[in-house]
Amino acid sequence: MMRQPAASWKTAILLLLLSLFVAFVAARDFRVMNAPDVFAPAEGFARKMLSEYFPPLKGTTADTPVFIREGKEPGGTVLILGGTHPVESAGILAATLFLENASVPRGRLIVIPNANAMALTHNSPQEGHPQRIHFALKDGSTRVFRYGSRATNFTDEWPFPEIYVHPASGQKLSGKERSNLNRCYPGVPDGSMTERLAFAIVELIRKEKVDLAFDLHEASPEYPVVNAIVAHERSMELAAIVTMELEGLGIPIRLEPSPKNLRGLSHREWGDSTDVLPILMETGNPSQGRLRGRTDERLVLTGEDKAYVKAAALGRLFIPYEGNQLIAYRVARHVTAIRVFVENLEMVRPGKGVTLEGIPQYEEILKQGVEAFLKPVPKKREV
Amino acid sequence: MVSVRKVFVAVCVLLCFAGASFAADIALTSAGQSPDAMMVRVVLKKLGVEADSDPLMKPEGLTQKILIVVIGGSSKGLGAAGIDKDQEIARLSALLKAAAGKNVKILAMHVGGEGRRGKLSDEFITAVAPAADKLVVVEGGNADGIFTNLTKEKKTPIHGAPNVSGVAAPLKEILAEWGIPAK
Ligand SMILES: [Zn+2]
Repeated sequence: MMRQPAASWKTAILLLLLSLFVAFVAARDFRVMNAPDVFAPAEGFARKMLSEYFPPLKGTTADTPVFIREGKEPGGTVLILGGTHPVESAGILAATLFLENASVPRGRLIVIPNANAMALTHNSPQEGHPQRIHFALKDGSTRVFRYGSRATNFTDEWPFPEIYVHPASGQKLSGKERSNLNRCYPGVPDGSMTERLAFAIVELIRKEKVDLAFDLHEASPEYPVVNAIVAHERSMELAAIVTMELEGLGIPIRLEPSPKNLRGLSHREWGDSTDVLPILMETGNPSQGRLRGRTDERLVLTGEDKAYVKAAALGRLFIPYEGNQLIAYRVARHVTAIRVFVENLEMVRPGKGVTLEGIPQYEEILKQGVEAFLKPVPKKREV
Repeated sequence: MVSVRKVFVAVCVLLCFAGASFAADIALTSAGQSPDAMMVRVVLKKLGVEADSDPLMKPEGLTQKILIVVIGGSSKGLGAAGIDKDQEIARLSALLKAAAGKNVKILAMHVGGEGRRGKLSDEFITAVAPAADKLVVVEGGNADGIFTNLTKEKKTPIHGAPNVSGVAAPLKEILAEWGIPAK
């Protein structure tokens, strides 16, 4: 009867050790999300950091690589931003395809594949989101991309305000939107981390005199602005030309104007604070939707979901859905739209044209997959 | 003195708005503030045809021979223009009435296909289509016969097109018929 304490003592120690072990494993898993993704830029890209455009960012979690390719012949400057929302993998991958395949005979190409690096250091396990997605390359190696969160890591944005008052306009949004890069433009130099990041990106657009800038996104199939271009009024004529050309290529895309009264978004604020032609694009991604079933890496890569088949049959979706939304299809849409935009830039900005070569065609990406256009990278870590 | 100044101001304003295409024969406007009107403007440019384009064109501004109204509702577009659906319909009714009064030919176009149908767009279709002299409708836009029904009495000719770029052919034909040669 009196020997019980000894048993409890042992149990307590065991449980303590077990919980330490679990904490250790979880912490390791959490910390490993801090390791940056590795890219293999095509020849001629110079690697800078965003903090070179806004030094206070240096050494902070918001700093992120900026890759610049300068063409021999002078022309305009194009910026491609992936990873504003790191749950929208097609945006990161489309930016990566340009970074790893483009040669630039004329003008300049700037690629920021991980726009909000602070949103890549955590994910949403309760949504069933995977931590990473993988692509098997021909040479037997694997490319790994983090699947982050829509929002900046809590550790960078704590505490949230109750209400986020957009500093430039006084617009009121839910407090958590202060962690959303695409609500923080044009940014604040001494604001929250996400506001500072937004400020740095606008500084880059200004200092590099960017002519045409893309912010790449994905959205759930039940969201009305999907398979879509959203254009600032200054970009509207170019966007109209591109919409028609894409339609001719068998890629129907919706063109929507950037609302003047919806503040903090790239397609509004980039255009209002600089001379750039801003373009935001969305593809349809069932892994972001509310109707989805089992959520895992497979869903992110294939977009196959039974519930979406039903929703499509009921006419509830804003994209044609025939059982999947392959990552290759979503990336091909972004890549092709960017290519067509760039091809027509000269028409609206004489003397500011940009020539890109080596960019895979729509059909090529569909047939061969995204992995065919990703380059092997030095193996840095096992994940 | 006042009247001279007024005329001067009016001329300045006109020059500002019209720019190089001061003498255009075609007025282009939107019904519903979707970007579809911009696409038609691009098609016209490709055809080498000048048009005075103003998505919010008012009846007073209408001095051209032909009025092209591109129908397509966009709540974002209406929001961007700072107007609501009813104000847009009121503007269109006044504009269409002025066009009829000035013997301006009216071409109504719906280029957004099935994607540019729905409650909002349908209200603009209902407001504009009956007043048109001719219609160009991209495939899918008239799948349920809305344009056919609205123009039954007038027997308005409806030209089809496979997609936005494809409206160039019927557009060219109609403009030629109305005395505007295109490339
Ligand atoms: Zn997004």
